[in-house]
Amino acid sequence: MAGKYVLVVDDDPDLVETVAMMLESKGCEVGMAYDGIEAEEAVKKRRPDLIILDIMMPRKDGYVLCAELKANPQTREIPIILLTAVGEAVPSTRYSHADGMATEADEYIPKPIDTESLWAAVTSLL
Amino acid sequence: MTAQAALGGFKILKDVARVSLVSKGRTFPETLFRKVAEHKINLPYATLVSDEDSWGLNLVVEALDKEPLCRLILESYGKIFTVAPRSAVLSVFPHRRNPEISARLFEAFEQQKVEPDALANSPSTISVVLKQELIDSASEALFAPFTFSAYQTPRDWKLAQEGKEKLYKEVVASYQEKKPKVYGLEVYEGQHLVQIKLNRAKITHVGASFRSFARLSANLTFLATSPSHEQGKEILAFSLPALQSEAYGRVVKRIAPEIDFQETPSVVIFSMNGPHFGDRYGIVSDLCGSLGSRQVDLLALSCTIASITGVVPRRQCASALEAIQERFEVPSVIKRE
Repeated sequence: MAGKYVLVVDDDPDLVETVAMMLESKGCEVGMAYDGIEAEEAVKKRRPDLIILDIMMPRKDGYVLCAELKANPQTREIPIILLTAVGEAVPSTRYSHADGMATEADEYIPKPIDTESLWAAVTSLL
Repeated sequence: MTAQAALGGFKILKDVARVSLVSKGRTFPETLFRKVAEHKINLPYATLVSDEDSWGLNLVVEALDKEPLCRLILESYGKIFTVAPRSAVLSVFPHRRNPEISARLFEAFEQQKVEPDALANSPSTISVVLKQELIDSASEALFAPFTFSAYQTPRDWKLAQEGKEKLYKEVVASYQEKKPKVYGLEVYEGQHLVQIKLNRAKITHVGASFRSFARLSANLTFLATSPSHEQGKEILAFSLPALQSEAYGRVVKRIAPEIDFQETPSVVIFSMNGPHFGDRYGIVSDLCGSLGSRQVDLLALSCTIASITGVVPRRQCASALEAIQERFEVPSVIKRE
């Protein structure tokens, strides 16, 4: 995985740090962003090899960013792993795992995430 | 002039109350946190530091939970040190364990005369508890030493914050598994715990010391403040790698010779990140209960953002990890030096 650049996007900075340290320990380079707008800017600055994207974030959520990146010919090939919040536990929101599955993301990991499953998804997409 | 450091962002949690107390007795924190959990009181911020034979605690709760919390403390202990009803928590990230980030924050607050009431680090974030009326000056102060990729000015930041508070309680309430799931458990071995006792108004005066620790390339693996049993004094507890421990006392004494400085060599820092670990009820209680069941001496603890971090003696590391793994679902333990 040496030299692969992964962008981790979540509004929980501790989760970003945990995932970043896991990826760095495997040799990846890691970019960090904390909302959809910031992630969009980060993608413009440097094209990631993979994006790990939370859905429930301020300013621009993961659904919107995922749809925009997949609609753009310049970014549509970037693999996206969507972190779908709270599984099915909060049915009044549109942030369930089922809602996440309806997007064009390449992989879906429900929260609370299992870092081993996440790493397996990363390796299958890189 | 020092160049600004690029950070990711900062968050502010408003309309919270800080409750501080100093207590005696080995099992008091465990008992109190169990009662807090039983009453389903979320703790967006909690720190605990042992101070000789007593404990200093800083707890932050939503404004509505202030009265129930105070009642529980009075029932358990009989007195409360301080209640600051209109408080806020400002959280700056990521610090990536670099003491330079803490140094810059302390110095910026000192220059702007922003006096923090309490401080604690999570693995990614420095959280500062303040009086709510200081939020504007504190957030403006951040734009001197730091740049934030998501916003150029305090006004940009304010515009970025509209959103999702309504979802917060529903989401927190959804994470009440019987055995809380941890994303990652990191263990920092070979650490050195330092406790500095000083007047609260002077907490930010230690910025220069932290700048020196950064020059030693020492990772800051723990930081928390708590009230001391000495009236008007605050304890700033932090840990750094033991490898250069002889230098830490020299640094602090050179910069502030009057400071009361204590060291605990050979400690271990463990940190668990999990869903809403820094704010949902029950996490601190589960950790204190599990360590208590194995007679592990918890020296200090912080629970903020989405992580809980503890300091224990090196000789009790194995017992502490066994206790944690019994109570929490831990996929893997990552040991770091």
